[in-house]
Amino acid sequence: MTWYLSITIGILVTMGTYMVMQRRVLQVILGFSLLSHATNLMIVASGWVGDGLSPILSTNARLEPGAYVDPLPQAMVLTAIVIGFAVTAFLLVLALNAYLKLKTDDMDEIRRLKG
Amino acid sequence: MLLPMPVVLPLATAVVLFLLRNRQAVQERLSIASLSVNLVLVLFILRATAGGEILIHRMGMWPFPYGIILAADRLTGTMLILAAAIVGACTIFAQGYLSRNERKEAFHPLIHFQLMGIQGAFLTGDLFNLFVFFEVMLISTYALLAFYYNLDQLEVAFKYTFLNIIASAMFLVGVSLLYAQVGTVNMADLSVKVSELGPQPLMVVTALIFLFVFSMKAALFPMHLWLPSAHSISPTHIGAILAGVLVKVGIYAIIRCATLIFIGPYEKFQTLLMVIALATIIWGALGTLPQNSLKRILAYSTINQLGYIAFGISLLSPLGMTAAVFYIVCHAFLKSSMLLAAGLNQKLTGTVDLEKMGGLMKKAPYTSSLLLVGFLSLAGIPPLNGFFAKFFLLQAGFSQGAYLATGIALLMGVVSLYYNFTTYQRMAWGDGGNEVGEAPLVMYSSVSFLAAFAVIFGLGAAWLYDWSLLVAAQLTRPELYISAMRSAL
Repeated sequence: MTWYLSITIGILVTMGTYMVMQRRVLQVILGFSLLSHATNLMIVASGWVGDGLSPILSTNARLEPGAYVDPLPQAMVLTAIVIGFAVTAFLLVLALNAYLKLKTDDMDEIRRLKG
Repeated sequence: MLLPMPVVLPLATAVVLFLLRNRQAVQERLSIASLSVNLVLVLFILRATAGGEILIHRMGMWPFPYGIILAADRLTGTMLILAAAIVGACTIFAQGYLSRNERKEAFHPLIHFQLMGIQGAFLTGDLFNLFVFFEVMLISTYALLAFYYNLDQLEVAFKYTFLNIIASAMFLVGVSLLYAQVGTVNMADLSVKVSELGPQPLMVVTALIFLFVFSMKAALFPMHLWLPSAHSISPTHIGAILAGVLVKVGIYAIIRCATLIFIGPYEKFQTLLMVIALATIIWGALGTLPQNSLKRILAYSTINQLGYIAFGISLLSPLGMTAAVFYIVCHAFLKSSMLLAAGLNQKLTGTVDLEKMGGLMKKAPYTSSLLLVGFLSLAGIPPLNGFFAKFFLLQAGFSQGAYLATGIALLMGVVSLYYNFTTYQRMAWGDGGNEVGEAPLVMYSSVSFLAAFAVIFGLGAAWLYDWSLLVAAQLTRPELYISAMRSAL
């Protein structure tokens, strides 16, 4: 399972890095979104131990600490997702304002306008 | 119950202020009242930490390594005072700087969210929670930077936001790497477990990631490039908060990492941090020379001073830490007062261009003398605080035998002497320049309030130095922090 996670993280980081280096603001924002999801997956992966059972104990469950995933990173990742959402929302508003004001969504163009 | 208040009060105020956005007069008064209450609260925290006790508050009453723990030692108390006083003064300044119809309704809630993030970052004893407070602080800063949505600000806001998103992503990567290795994010618990684990290669990478993240916030070389434009393009009061408080949050996090989490074998990073600090000092000092804008000169000077602070930390000795704490306190008040004075100047003359200011000494004697005190202090002229800050730092460096590094720092002090004097000369001497208008009294009073500390900390340097010694004594003994957290009830 850790392998799948690692490969997914790798693909997300690759795509995110590629998107971040584009010229259009919207693509850059999507790139950052992908990058933040990759880091979220990394946090999930950091709590992944043993057999990966969900950490809910019932009366006849196996009582080995190694068998369950750590629930704390999953709580942390929720916070990180919400923060990522807020930042993306802010960036989109910023991009919209930039577009309405400058009539362009090209980073190079914005820099050129600034002179 | 005192500890959560500096987080809860700004949060509650921000929400109420947002609801009151259509009633500006009420909003303003409530905002300033809340900032005053906050300052008093923070003073109580400082008084409680002064005796050496480390205050602990467990959020949600979770047992020791699992829940979020707020902790306040002497360093936290000091930083909280800086944040509360400077953000307060800048908000009062903004009342004069912004005219009636300039989107003020968004300003007050954002400033309180920002204050919540800053104070939370100083208080928290949990690395993931530090990330959360960083983000609260940053999101409101992004919005405040792009305040007028004009071309320059949009460009700067994009630059600052993108760089900080990368830093935030790396912060999370660092947290997840730490958690994967030692299974905790509590700073005291980390301190013990990271030392037990020893210098594994992955842990070294983790330490480097944290160094990268926090030097981005603290604008250390080579992550300092966002700072000059962010300081000069943003509204002045935001620039003053950035220079006075926000970069100090990064410095604070570096201090916590260097004295609490990555200790023992990681002291090898000392050399790396020292090289970074010297590069920052040099870049900042030389960067001022070709500038024409008063605000950009102050911004490069901030980079220069941050280099000095990082240099003090990199010595990793009680003396070096003492000098760094002394420097942080002095620089926070000094630089925010100078940026506000530059904003006052901008209001008076309508420009930040030095060439267009000439003859300020005759036309606006009070403003130019405020700036003169600042420049003299930055240049390191006794008896102002800038002199003592540099003096203690160089003393610490020489007493530890770091002759070459301290020599470079001293040499750059000479460059700063040069740029501070020429800047003042171009601005204040001679004739010509724009006509001088008028500025509201609140602007003068908030600048004077902050500038007064340059003199107070200069004449009372012995007192501040004794306090910095106490702060450093607590920092160099991480076991105090750990045992306080362990025995928390």
